[in-house]
Amino acid sequence: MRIRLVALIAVVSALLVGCSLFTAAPASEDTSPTSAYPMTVVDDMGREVVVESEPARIVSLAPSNTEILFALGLGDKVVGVTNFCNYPPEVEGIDKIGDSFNVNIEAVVALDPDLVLGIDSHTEVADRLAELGIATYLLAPQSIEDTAKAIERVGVITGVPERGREVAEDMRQSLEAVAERLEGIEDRPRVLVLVDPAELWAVGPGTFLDEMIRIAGGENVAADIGQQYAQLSEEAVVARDPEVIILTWPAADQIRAREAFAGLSAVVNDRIYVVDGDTTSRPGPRLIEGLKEIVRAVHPDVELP
Amino acid sequence: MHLEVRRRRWRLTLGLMAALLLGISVAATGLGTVPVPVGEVLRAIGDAVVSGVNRQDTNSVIVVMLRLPRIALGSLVGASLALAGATLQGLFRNPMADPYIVGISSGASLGATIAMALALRFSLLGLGAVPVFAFVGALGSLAVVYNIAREGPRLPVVPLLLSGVAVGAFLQAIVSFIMLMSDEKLRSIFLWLMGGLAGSTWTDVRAVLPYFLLGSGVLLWQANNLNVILLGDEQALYLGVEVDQVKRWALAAASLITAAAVSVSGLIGFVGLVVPHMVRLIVGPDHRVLLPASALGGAIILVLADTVARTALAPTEIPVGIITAITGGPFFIYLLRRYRRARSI
Repeated sequence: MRIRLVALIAVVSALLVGCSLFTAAPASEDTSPTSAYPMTVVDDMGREVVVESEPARIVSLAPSNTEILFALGLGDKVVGVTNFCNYPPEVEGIDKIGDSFNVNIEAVVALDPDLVLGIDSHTEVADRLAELGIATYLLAPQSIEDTAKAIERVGVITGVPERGREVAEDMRQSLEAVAERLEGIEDRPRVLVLVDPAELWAVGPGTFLDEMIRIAGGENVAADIGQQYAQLSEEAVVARDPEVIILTWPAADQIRAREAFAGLSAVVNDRIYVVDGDTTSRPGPRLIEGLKEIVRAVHPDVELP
Repeated sequence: MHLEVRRRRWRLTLGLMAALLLGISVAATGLGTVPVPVGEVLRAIGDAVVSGVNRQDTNSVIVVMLRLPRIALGSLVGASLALAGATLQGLFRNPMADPYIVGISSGASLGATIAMALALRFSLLGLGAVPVFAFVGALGSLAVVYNIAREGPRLPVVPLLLSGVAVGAFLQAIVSFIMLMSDEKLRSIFLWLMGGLAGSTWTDVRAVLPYFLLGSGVLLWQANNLNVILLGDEQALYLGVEVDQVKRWALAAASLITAAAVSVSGLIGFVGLVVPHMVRLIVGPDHRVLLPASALGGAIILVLADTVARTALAPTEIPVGIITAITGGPFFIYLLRRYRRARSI
């Protein structure tokens, strides 16, 4: 009896091994060259990263990266996100690894990831994780086109290159469609974007919002502040007399309540708009949504696709 | 009390404190975002000693490469700060003295802030730009303060304190200005200034250890001379102690271990101020026992505080400097009130 059982198990396992050998062989033939692992790639910070196999457990160190991974259809492979990640709603139930600025390396290691996706501020975290043998790829897109390219590259290293190209191409086409609607418009209103209306922190050059204002046919009155964000005095705002004020925080009343601002064109003509701070700043697929919000604020009469 | 009896009691106290530090360290190694049972901790350490760390074994990586270096560094930093604090309180005969009083903290802050604001990336003996700049900044500001304060071969205490405060305020203003100008780096600079042990590595431990051994060796050698200085400069001279020589040795050693500690952990407050007072209540003011006991006490307190910092809001970390200040502040007030009643410190 026992001998027969052992023989049965032996036969069954031999068959199983045989089957898996047979099924494995044809699969390796149709593997396209772009998804050949191990894959050596260079990330946006110039670091060489070796991805050993198609990632099955991915940790995201920034909300933008989380959005990219979900847009690529990899949501079920994301095993760790930050406390800041709030989109899509499915991130709610995923383990947290601290926040973007304060990554808990121990929590990352405990999730046993085969790929960690960070941003430019994570160079030290990435070095540390690399020491521990965890592939960490950093993204640092500076423009909407950069973001599309970054999405393509993430698609390649995560084994979904076609999906990456699709998402990126979709972004480019939407961007072009928006730009077409704005062709021939001469009027370039002076725009001020404040990320902190209480302290008058303005958005300067080198930001997605600055790029969006330009695409939307506006002129960023804080283009001369020389850094991405800087605090303006009330005087400086009055001197620039913005025709449109865009806030990433619902606090239009705070702007209207300032006596010094009573005469500003934007206040007089009631052109203070509140936009979503996430879609206008996170380098991910939703940047186009953010761009449309900015266009609606700068040129409300333009009909968007 | 007979010296031999006292010495025996000192040895007992120090032995108990060392045992406490060991016990707390083992317990702390098991605690964290992912709890690891003590048996598993010991197994991971054993495996690592025998055959190195297996990168595939998550518990081993967490225990041996993430938590142990952090606890070792926490012990070294806590010990350095408390030892330096105890020394400087004696040297200045001032209970408010702490390791940062001669401008080391602001010099280190400026160095670290510059490295972070410019996003410098280089590596010296495995250390990044931030610790290297912080260390250079700390010793640089000390040199400036020392040269302002000294009068020929003499090193008067009050000018040393005052120039420390003045140079500190000046450097701090530059740090604030750089922070204002530095956009997205602001947060990392702020976190560094709060002090923390997140991301500690064995490289950091190896970098700090030689300074700690050298500095604490010098201080223990000078411990009895520091006792004599407590009597006053004049008395000390009558007793044949080269006061200025002792001051220079003690100041140099205390500053060196502080600079090394600060460069890898940022500005962790209150350990260097409060721990020596706590220890003085237990073992008394004799530097021969106060100094080693302060070092052990500082290590115990910082490992405890860092365990809270790692676990209280896990997975988010709290900079350990916030924990030490929140618990150290009220404790210091308690000591002050007690001092007012008993005049015993």
